[in-house]
Formats: sequence, structure tokens, C-alpha cells
Amino acid sequence: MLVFTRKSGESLMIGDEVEVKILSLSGDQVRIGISAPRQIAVHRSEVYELIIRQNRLAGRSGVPSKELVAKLRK
Amino acid sequence: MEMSERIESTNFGAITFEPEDVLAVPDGVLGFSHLSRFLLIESEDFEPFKFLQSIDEPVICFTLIDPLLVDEAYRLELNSDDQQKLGLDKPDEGLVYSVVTLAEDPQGATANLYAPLVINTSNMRGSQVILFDSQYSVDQPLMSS
Repeated sequence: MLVFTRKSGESLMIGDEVEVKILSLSGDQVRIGISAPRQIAVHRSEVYELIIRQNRLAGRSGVPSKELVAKLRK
Repeated sequence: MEMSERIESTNFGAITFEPEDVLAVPDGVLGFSHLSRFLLIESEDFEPFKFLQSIDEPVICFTLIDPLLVDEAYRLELNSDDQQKLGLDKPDEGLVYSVVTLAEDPQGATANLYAPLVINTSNMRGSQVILFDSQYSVDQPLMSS
């Protein structure tokens, strides 16, 4: 992993289109601003991990039981 | 002439399909980015559920449900990039499905309302869209009421 030390208000570039800026620091929290082209999706890592975990469970969970199908038909 | 293909799926046995039946999911489903060709399967036995069956890994099959059946107030705002990626002229033209996680106990079945699957049936393209800062859950119980 590439590691940088930055001060509040400083930024760094990823390629020539993505800018990551340190906006402010407060205790153990950092506010980060990201400027990126719209086609680059930016989400919190936890969100990705949550969705990947859920998809992995879902992808091999079989087919709905008769009971569940009947309930959803109501 | 283009040839039909056949897979041996874990859930449905043998499935024969034509090239035009293939749903392309270029970015894959998150966590399954190596899988980009799927079949959208409908079966009267399972209505209102539908299925997203992987062609390349026949053991992988996602159960889908109309999110409005889980949350009647469900709303999705497709951003212009997702719209463009899917080739949709209007944001509300796509079919929207939630991916269902089944459990042994039917009461444990959940739907992912946070990252719906959006499908453009006119060009057979699909994408799992992550709603930005959404209040929806990845595991909303199907039978909450």
C-alpha cells in the first residue's frame, strides 16, 4: 500500500482525474472529499463488503420453498 | 445460424437457451465479478419470484423479487451513469429486482433493497446498482408483516 502523510486542506491525485482531499480532522475522524468522474463509483468500503457478503449468501441459497412462494402470492 | 447452448443448472436441471436469451451483466454481480452471462428464468411454480441463473457457473443462481412486494413504498433513483451503462433512454424503463437470500426457515428469507439489479430487456443488459447513502437494507425480511 502506498502511504502518504497529508495535512488538512491537502490532497492527492489518483491518475489525472481522481482527487482525494483531506477536508478536516477531528479526533479519530477524517473528513475526505473525493472529486472523480461520474462513471467512477465511490462508496464506503463497508457498503461493498456488506453487499458482497449478502450476494455470496444469496447466490447459492437454492429456490424458494412452496410456503414462501404461497406467502408472497397473497 | 447461431447455435443454442445448454447448461446443467443446480436448481433447474438442464436449460437450453439461445444467444438472444443471454443477459449480459458486464460488471458482474458484486462478489461474482468473473460471471457476466446470465439467464433470467421465470417459472409459474415460483411466481412472483424470478431467477438470475449464471451460465458460466451453473451452481450460482440468484432468486429475484419485485422490491415493491417487499416494500410498497420502495423508490429507486437511477443515476445517469447507471442509466447510460444499461443503455436506458429513461431511468424508469428498466426492470428492477431485489436479490433474495433464502434461508432454511422461510421466515428467514431476506431481500437486498440496497443494491437492486436493474435490467434493460431491450438490449439484455443488467447491472447491480448500489444506491448512494441509501436507508434501505441489504437484508430486509420478506415476511415482516
